[in-house]
Amino acid sequence: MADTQGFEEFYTATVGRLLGQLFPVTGDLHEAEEIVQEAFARASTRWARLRDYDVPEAWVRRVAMNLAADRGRRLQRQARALLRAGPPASVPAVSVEALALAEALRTLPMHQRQAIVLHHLVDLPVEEVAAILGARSGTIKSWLARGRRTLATRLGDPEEVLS
Amino acid sequence: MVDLRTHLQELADAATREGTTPGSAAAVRRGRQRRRRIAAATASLLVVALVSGGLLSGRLANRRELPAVGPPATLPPPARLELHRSVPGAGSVEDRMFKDLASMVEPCVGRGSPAAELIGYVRSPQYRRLVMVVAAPPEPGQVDVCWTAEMFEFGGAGSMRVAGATPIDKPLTADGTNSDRYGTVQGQVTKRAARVRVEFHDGRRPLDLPVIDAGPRYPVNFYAAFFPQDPGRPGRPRAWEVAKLTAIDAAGRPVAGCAVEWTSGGDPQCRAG
Repeated sequence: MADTQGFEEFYTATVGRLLGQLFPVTGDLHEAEEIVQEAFARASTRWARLRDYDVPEAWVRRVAMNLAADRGRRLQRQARALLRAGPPASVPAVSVEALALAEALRTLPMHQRQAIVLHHLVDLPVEEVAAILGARSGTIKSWLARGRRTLATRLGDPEEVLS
Repeated sequence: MVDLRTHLQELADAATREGTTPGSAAAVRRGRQRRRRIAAATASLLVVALVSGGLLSGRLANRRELPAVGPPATLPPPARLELHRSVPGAGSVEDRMFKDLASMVEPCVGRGSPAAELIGYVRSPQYRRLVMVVAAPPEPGQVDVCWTAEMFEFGGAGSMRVAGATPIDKPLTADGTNSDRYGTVQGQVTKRAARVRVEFHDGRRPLDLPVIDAGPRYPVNFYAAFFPQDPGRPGRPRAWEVAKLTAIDAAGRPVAGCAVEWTSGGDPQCRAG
């Protein structure tokens, strides 16, 4: 169908990368899969416009980040107790250090996690992270600094700010 | 020292390797289902609104009017404001501001959607600055509206951020800026409102702002204003003075209200109440 022409190629080329970027934000692989699929579903309904973008992947990433934040807020409101007693997060096989980082990331507020992933993993400049998260650049710098400090403490390296 | 980037990349690679997604066809199906759900929900809401509007108007005919909130307050002298609905001309400073803001709205609506339009801008000769509101009309079935409002110096300097999509059923929102001498407040407001009353923490006289009518293609209107700020003192840091907002209809009845709070992100938020 003309409206979805090129969507399959776009999906195949980007879904894995976006899943990889969302997992450190959600801390749960299944949740990251669900969010990424929903973001692609939304992209599919406006693909006729998105395919003309220079980087349609950036649009999907932004939607996915927003969905992760919305989901985090909803879970906080609805099921604090359930979260405490809920099933363990689904995490892929990684090194002990990476697993510790995944666990430490889950203790950060969602906006700090998003800022850290967008800046340190996706490699976006602070200004672009600010535009995506709807905050000022100074605020993003503060979130990054606080997030790195908390991670360093959680990972048993309180004297160091993570590189 | 823990190498954050290396371990983040390891997490990402593992998720990419082990994660499963149902494929592009499933995403397309899910997208179509979502679009149908939104269309059905919009249609249902319209029916409910029409039915309850009819019932309510019948009831209200037999009821005493709600108390009015008082006559419009006049603007305090430092906040004399001028509302403009069009830019002076192509190539003007205001035109460049508009084009910059329109480019911030585009990522929200997507290319090919109705172009971003100037809703209006409020000039403060006192502070030699203006707040400009730019939006794009939502398409049929869309449940949010893309718009942005930013402050510029008269010379054109200003910062911008990509517009966000705000649900059209939010009757009142607030955003703003803070400086030594002045603050700004701007937001989206229900079509039912004729003015927006701003109340301040320091107990000064409230400010009544006219609504900027966005026209029939928009489900909401907007407002924007400057107000004088306390420069702050040692031990009492400067604070954004806006405390409460009330949307008021033409008959003087409150139709929406909210207390305003700063979030940890540094932006004010309107908490319904």
